[in-house]
Amino acid sequence: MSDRQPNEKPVVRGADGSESAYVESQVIMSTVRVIAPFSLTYGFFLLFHGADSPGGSFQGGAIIGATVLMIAFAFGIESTRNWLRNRTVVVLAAGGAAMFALVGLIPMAYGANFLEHPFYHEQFGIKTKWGLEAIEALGVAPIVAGVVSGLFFVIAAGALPATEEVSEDD
Amino acid sequence: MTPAGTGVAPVAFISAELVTDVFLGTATVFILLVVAMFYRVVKGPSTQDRVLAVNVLGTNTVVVLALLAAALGEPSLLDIALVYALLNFLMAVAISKFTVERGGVL
Amino acid sequence: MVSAFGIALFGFVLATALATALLRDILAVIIVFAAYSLGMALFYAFLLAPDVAMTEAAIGAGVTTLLLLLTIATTVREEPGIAIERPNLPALVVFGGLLVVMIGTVTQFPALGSRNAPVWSNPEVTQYYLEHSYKDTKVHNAVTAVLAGYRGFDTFGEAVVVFAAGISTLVVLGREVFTRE
Repeated sequence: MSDRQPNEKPVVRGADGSESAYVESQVIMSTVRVIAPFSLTYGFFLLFHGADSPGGSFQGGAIIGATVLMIAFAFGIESTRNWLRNRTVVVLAAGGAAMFALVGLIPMAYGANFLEHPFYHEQFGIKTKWGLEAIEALGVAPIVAGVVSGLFFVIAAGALPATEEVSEDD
Repeated sequence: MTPAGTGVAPVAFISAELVTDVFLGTATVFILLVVAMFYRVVKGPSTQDRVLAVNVLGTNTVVVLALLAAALGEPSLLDIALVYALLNFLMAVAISKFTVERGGVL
Repeated sequence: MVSAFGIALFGFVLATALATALLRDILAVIIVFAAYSLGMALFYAFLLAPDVAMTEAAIGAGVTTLLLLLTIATTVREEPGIAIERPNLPALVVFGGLLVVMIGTVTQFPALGSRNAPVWSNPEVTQYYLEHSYKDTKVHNAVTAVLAGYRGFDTFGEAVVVFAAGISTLVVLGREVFTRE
């Protein structure tokens, strides 16, 4: 408490990559190693079980995104960002929106209404429940998870002062 | 209000309302503890005090949610308690890392 | 006992909200705001809205605090000279007006669980969904049935809003962050 540096300005890393002085905390790393599988599993549980218990796509997606944040905090934001490429995050969000639209548009192609779930039962024999689940698991959850982790990485990159430029061309 | 403790064998002097009241009363006491703890969050001279206090608040919230689930007869509230138990840790880690290595890692 | 619990919880949420508004140190404000989120999640759970409470738990505990922390990590922290923000007069006037409007509105609401609440006095609409959602969709959670089924088009709009807001923020911030030297 007494020896904390009160007014320390953010360390500006030199171009020689002198940021390697920081070593990730062992305690946090091993704790996250234990907790992250549980929270990821719980996120998927909320996502797939949302039809029968509270929770659902938004909550599940948010917890899956929070798991990515947790891993990033423990193992370093830059390395997690390199592991989970920018393209993955964007494809996740865009793919979610596209899947949602697709589930809605298929009935329209056969002359039914947008998102008319009973149509799937009449035409293909797919239960109505699976239409709802498809929207939840393939549509909303990837959007939320992708947007949450993408926002985190972009803001974290802004907080990192001038590291070597990360390729962003995808 | 859904009567709680319907699985309990009916003893003459323990009614469902009494069980609900006891659980809710315990939850109220925990909320009062939370308010007392919140004083440290506001007052705490250093950030470490605040982080610890808010962590205690989170743990208390898990307990209160479990008590509410028992009192109101809503097992689904336990799911929220689980979410808090998993994610409360993340908040503490983030804030403590932020204060220790400010500018170093963030 | 129910009202005692409600009053205690309300006091806690009020205290956290006041502290969030009045504290000077931004880091302390973020921590206090996390406590506010805890209180609100308890409130939603107490009012038997587990889906909303779950959202508040997942977003408030996990995501909001982290994003706010990262945002203020880009700034330079100044040691606060005073602990409590001095409220300024125009803001107080606006706040007072808002408070009068809100209190005027809230007192017109039917009491919690009252038989005069629109849910009970006009039961055709709400009861319809509660009775038919399982028959129509074979989904136990009526909230999910309404969200993804009955008002799926609305949900589609919301999902697209989240998607568009997120992607546009990524594009704007990404250009800001990655092209500066």
